[in-house]
Amino acid sequence: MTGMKKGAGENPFADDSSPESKTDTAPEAEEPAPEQAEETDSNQGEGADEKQSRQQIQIPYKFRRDGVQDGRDRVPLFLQKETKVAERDALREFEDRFEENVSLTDLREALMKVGLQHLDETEECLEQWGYGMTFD
Amino acid sequence: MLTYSTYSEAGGVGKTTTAANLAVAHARAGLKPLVVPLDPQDGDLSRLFGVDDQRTDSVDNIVRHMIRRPNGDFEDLIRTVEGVDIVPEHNMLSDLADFLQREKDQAEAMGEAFGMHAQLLRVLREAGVPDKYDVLICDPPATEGPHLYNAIHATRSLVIPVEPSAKGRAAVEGLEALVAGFEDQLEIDVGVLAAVPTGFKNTRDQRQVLTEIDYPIPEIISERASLMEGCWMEQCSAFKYVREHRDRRRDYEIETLAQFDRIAKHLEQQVGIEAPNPPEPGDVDHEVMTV
Repeated sequence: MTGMKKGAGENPFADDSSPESKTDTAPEAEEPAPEQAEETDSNQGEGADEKQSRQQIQIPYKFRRDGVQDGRDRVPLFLQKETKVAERDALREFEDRFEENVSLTDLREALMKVGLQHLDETEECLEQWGYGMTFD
Repeated sequence: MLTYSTYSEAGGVGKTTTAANLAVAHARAGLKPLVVPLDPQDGDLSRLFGVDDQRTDSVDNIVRHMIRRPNGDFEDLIRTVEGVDIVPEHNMLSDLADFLQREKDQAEAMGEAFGMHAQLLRVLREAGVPDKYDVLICDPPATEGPHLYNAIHATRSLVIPVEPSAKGRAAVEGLEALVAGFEDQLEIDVGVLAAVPTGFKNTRDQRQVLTEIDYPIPEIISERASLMEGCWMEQCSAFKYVREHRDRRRDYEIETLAQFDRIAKHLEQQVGIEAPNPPEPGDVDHEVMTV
């Protein structure tokens, strides 16, 4: 995320391929969005195999949604400085591993979900902050 | 092509009049602008230019095109006023979110993806807009939602009218977080071409606020309520209003017109566009060239 730059943003009409080409290009297309949402047409083969039902075909969340806020509610998130630094480091780590941009919003929820699966360790962290202390 | 959306968190800072007057300024300089306003409410850019007469009729409109149910060619939507092509707003814009969601649900039931925020770009691209126009201006409402996201997704640059006050400054600061959200949400890079302070009365506090705004400020528009109200009354741009509806030419209003000419030129220069017939800024009688 670059924040708000001064001067023009990217050219929205830059990758001016014809509308049909969206189904031909592989998902690892170099340019971001506008076609990205449509390119999942080529993914639907795998999705259809997984769930041969009359319900919605389960395309993975990242490709199905319109954007990172889709299907999510905004919550205020207050973080200490070390946590923010560690978060940024983790983001960079994952961007290296996946070799693509990783959304901070996605990373945060993923960290939270994993944390929810490790309540004992989470308890230790809360105890370090002072929860459960008794004063004799 | 120069593409931008006018954005302002607060109402009443001249977002729509700024979009309208910049569009006319680009046209005056010999460029071909297309304006796509997306405000579902009355008192919008279509009203300012007097092209809102069919907003309640069941005619073809931009929303139909965005949900892939057009009732005609995109070109037939366009109305031309003061050398500017406009796609008039329509009351269906009030239900844009629902229409888009319904289309998305149907598409997904068929195993297709449907980008709710990418539809305006698709429509404009399919209509060949980059080949036919030099400038694309969107004027969305400020509320977060599909109108705003579609506009930003289709233009990727912002022109920000801002009130030179503490409230205005807070709005600009809030804009950082908001736009970072857009960029994340839409997976694009958004730039700010200019901040345009309006309603400036040259007080010390106002001047202080302006020093704290970190975006290019090519011109500071002074308080011009009378001129802008006149534009709404006569349903025209400030250029036309001064030329045809003022009994006499007032220097300070001519200067405001010159400012719009200069802002338009600044924006054009940001993307390397050299306008073919630039006027002397504020030259009221400069004719728009029509091809």
